[in-house]
Amino acid sequence: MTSGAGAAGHSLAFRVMRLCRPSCQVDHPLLVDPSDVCNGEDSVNFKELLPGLVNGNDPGFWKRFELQEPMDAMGLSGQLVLPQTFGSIYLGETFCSYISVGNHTNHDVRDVIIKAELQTERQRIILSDNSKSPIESIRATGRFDFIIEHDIKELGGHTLVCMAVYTDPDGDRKYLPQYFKFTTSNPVSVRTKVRTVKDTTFLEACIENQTKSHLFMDQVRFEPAPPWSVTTLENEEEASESDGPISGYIKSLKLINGNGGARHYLFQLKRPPLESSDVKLEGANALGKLEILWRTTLGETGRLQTQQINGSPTPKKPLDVKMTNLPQRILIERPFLVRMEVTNRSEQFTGPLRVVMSETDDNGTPRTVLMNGLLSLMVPPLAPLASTELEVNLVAVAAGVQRIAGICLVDARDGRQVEFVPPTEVFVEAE
Amino acid sequence: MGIDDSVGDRSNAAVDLNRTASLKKKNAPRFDTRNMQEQARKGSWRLLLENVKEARKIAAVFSPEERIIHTTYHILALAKLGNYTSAAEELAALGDLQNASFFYEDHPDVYPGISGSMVPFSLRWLHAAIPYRIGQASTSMERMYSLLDYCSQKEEKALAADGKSEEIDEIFSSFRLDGGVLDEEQRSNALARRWKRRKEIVNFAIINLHLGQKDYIVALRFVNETLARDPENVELWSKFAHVQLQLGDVDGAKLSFAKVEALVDERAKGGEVDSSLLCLVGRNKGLVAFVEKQYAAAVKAYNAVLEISPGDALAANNKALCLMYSRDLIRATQVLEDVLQKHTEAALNETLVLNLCSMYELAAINSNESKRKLSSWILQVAPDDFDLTCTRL
Repeated sequence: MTSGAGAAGHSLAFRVMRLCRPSCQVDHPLLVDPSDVCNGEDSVNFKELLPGLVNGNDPGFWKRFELQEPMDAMGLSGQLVLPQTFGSIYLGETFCSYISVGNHTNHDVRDVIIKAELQTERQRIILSDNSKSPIESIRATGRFDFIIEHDIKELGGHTLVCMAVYTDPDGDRKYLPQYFKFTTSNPVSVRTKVRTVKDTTFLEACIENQTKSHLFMDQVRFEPAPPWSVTTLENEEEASESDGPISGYIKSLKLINGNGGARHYLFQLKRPPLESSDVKLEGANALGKLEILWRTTLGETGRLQTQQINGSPTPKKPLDVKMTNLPQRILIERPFLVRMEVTNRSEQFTGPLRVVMSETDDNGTPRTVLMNGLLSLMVPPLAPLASTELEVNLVAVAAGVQRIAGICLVDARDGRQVEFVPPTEVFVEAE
Repeated sequence: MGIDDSVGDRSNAAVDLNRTASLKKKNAPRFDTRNMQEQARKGSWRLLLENVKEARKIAAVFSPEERIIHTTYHILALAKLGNYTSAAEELAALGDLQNASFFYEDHPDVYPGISGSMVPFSLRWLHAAIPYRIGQASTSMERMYSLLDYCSQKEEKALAADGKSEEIDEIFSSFRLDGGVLDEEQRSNALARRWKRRKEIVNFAIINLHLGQKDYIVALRFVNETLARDPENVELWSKFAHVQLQLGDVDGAKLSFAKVEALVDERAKGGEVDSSLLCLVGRNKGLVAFVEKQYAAAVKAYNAVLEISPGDALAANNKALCLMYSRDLIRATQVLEDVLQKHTEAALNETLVLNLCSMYELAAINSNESKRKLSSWILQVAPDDFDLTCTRL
């Protein structure tokens, strides 16, 4: 597991060992109750036993043969064991390594500069560098140890470069580089699906474990992009209490098995209802990002965030309406004309449309600028990409800064609202 | 005496001589099962194997039960010495353990009035455990599950039977089971209790197999059932916490460790607490600190344990890892070398040696020298079943 060797002619050598978390050793001991060896199983003749069982603190290797308690057969003593192989390294994990620089000769070396760097396709990251304060000397058979840590943020090939620059007894300045290569891969693959049911948007995420061992899902969160807000939907199952004290724990354990195990998550997304006056943004509809925090053996952490997940894009508006002309002066209770341009952006004829105006706003407050007259204004059917102009007769019933809002084009046949005219603010002069 | 007296006399004399010689052999200490147990305790498996092989050569002089006990030691010794294939072959050669010849009632001249199976339970257990060690995990799993059922049935049968037979009373009058003097009720249920204990052993062996296969959820279900039967079992809650840590559920493990401490505190209120429990709590504290990368605090916790029990291999081993992870490799190796020297019998185990050898490899270019030195020392002091591959030589 340790790599690195002394390059010929060098007084120093690097030894490197990956320091991922150790694990709890699981033994498979062959332990027996001695009376189960020396007697027939149905025998009640126990004369062959040595008098009394051995006391727990008695010396000897008897614990490798005799069970003290039935639980010894479980083989989980709590003894930690160092990682025996380099293992795989995944995006989102922290790469940790013990680096030991040893002087295996019988002479001292002086002015030692030690550097450790991580090189990827895209960048070079300095992990440790003591150039500003070199080590005065590493004596014969001496050593200099350090531990480096780095969060893995790139996929693909990585090279850990260890460098030592030192002065040997002859006064020569020596340079020792050593390279350790490894590759990082994706620990999970995430598939998402967005579904909209009425006004609610649901995001279903499937996380598949591509590592060789289990992943404990510490937290799977959805970070919504404003104005979205999110609720995580979880299946609350009632644990059958009769099973045991950790039944609930086992049922709700968020563990994903290695080599393709998967887990599904469901999020409910809501955005505040759109005011009729709000402008709908066309195009991509950013919902947010999924953040995954996991742990493996003995709490080794990992963290990944997905790219922006998009909902279904807002459909392009079929109709574009805007006010093109406002009178210079608007007087209270004096009717005035505004001009509007209506453009058909779709590839079909638009049905006959009617211009209507609501008399109160969304809160129920009466509007201060209203359409004048009882006649409703008609917009004839428009050819694809054609546009037309119309004049709307309005009157203001209050002075000061007022909003012209609530003008809507509806389908003349079924009354369906097609497009709102963007609101405008005007100044109404008093008499 | 035969009809032809002269011939009969001579042949009988020859038989007599042979029989005397065999009887002498039979009574030789080396064939005494108590001595065999002593050898097993010392780890002198090679010697034990020799003795058992010799015993099998004169098998005829031994009783059926003695013969099957020798066979059990034989298979156990082979397994302990790492020769699992031969052990499996020997087991297969026995055939069906439910065969009539393995029952006391099949030999009424030797065992008058006694009935039941004379197969030592460990033999059945070995039959289930050994396939795992030759790459047949599912066979071991199947057999262990069957063995669990077998133990349940036997326990029920023993409870149902009238336990007040004369033999049991007579034999148990001077025997101490589980360290206490048997009372009336214990005597009559002794066999049932033995089966209950065997069932527990198999239960934990099954958990062990699932842990080995990394089927953590299944293992936890068994732990759950066991905890349901014994909800104040401090050691089991502690083991559960270790499984949680192995999974990565640090928060869950901390809750379980807290429960362990609370249970121990409860007992402390009622009186003296066994030092082994104090050590357990101390080691758990150390482990939690290690997981949180608080290495200094972890070392402190392990030192407290080593104060109570200087030969605590787990504390010494884990303390060494704390030192290594806090950049003190040399002190780490010293801790392990120290505990091996001073408390050899308590500390010598394959995992500890494996860790020490991994540290040697990190510490020096030519780590083989240190490893070889360690290896030759181990050869002098270790029991025969010590697996030297842990030195990574």
